[in-house]
Amino acid sequence: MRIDDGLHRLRPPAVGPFREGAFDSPVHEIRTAAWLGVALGVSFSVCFLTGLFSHLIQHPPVWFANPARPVWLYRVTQGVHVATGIASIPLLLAKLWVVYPHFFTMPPMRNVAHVLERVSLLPLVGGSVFLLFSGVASIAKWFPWRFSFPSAHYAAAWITIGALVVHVGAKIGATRRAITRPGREAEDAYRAADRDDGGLTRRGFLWTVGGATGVLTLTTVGQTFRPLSRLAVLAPRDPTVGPQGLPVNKTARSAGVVDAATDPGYRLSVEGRVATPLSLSLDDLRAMPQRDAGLPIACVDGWSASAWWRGVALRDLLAAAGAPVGSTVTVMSLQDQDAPYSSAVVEGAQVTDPDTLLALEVSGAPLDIDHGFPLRLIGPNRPGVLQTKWVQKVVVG
Amino acid sequence: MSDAGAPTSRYGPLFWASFAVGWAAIAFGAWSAWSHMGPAARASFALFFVGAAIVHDAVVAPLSIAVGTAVARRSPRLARAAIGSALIVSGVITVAMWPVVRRYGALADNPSFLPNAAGVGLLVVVAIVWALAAASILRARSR
Repeated sequence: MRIDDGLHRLRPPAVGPFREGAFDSPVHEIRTAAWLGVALGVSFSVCFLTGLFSHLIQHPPVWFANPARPVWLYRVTQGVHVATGIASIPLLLAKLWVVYPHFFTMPPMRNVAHVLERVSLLPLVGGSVFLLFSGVASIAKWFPWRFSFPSAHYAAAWITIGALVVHVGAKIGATRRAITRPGREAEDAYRAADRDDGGLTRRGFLWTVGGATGVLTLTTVGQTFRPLSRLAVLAPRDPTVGPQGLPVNKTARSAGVVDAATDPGYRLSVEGRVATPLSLSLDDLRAMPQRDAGLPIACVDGWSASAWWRGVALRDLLAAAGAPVGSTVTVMSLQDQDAPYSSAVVEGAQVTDPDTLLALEVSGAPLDIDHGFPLRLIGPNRPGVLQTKWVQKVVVG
Repeated sequence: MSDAGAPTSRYGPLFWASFAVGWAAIAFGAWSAWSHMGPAARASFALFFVGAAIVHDAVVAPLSIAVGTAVARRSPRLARAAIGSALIVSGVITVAMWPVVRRYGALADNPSFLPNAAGVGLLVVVAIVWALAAASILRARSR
């Protein structure tokens, strides 16, 4: 094929990293690459699926209804999403390091398929590094860019997973051969290839990478896995720290609702498709039947904390207003309605679930203003950003 | 660099099928970015996406090689592997959690965010890593 012949002749001079034997560390080797590739294939798939679930909950298409049970589902999937992303950082850096010499591979373009495979590495490498960097930056609330994080992280996830599919298609045969290469002879050859200069062997390198992943996980996962919260020295959150022992994502001051939330004339209105529109004071709400629910706040940032909440069940409120069964409800905050997450939709099983509350209290005391005083939505299996605080209006639609 | 460098010798139907599926997902991601962003956001996204690959390949990787080689050359043979391990672990952890450690996103009105002194935490973790490396070197010497 003429194109292939042409490509074959493109050859940079054999200097620097293009030299034969320029990379003499034994870790630049296919078996190490294969094991790291398998680990990353698993971790990126987990991140993609859990991330997709979070996206579906926040932007539900018509065919998707977020279940109310189990109540801890989102807490687990999003905790796993962030923890797996963090754990992937050493794996990705190690993988890129092991295969780095391929960057200078000779000939650079062997045939058309080889060109396409290599072109597909830009979305793979750029996307992988972008996802992990933007993920960590965003849980640290550091936004050194001009795009919206959720849109960009979502788009980059599709680009990266697509490039990963191409990469797996190109490498699965070689990976399988490298990992399953049987026999003692092969094992001896593998060992003998390690340098005898006291430097890291391939096995030592993989242990090191596993160690880095372990240390990163142990020092961060406690932000959602409470038994390890005391080890979470590098996590952005401690699930026990905050007003009433719960972390806060957005404060009343930063939401601009301090005056409205503490106004003694506060009333909750229930309107829309209801038989009897309601306007309820705090005392009216306290006089209604109260329900207790043990529910987690599970933030998209990967931290979570459980608490006991007390308030009026949404379904009781809707019944009092004579809303039709099966209604979809929009819960609106005192915040400026143009602000992100200033309202949230509750639909399907979440509307009728007895644990979906408009809570007045947490942990036996009235809500702290930063937890949404006077009234907040708290429901099972919902991301924290959809647990609207400082509720002023329930619109049945 | 032995067989690791060689691309798979043959690109079969599996490659072409995954190529088609994979690029469909890539196209969807690119469309999603395009349709949800204004011009400034698009430019910023492209910059960070391509920049991520370039910064890794042109800065992070060569720098790691330079540091690793320099440290390995100066390390006694007996300690080389342990020092290499400790360097990788402490380097990766530092880079990974740098935005948390430097508190770039700290919020004055929200003390429940970044409640830990992550800088101190990082120093302690790195100290433990190097203490373990030192212990393994001492054990190797005593053998």
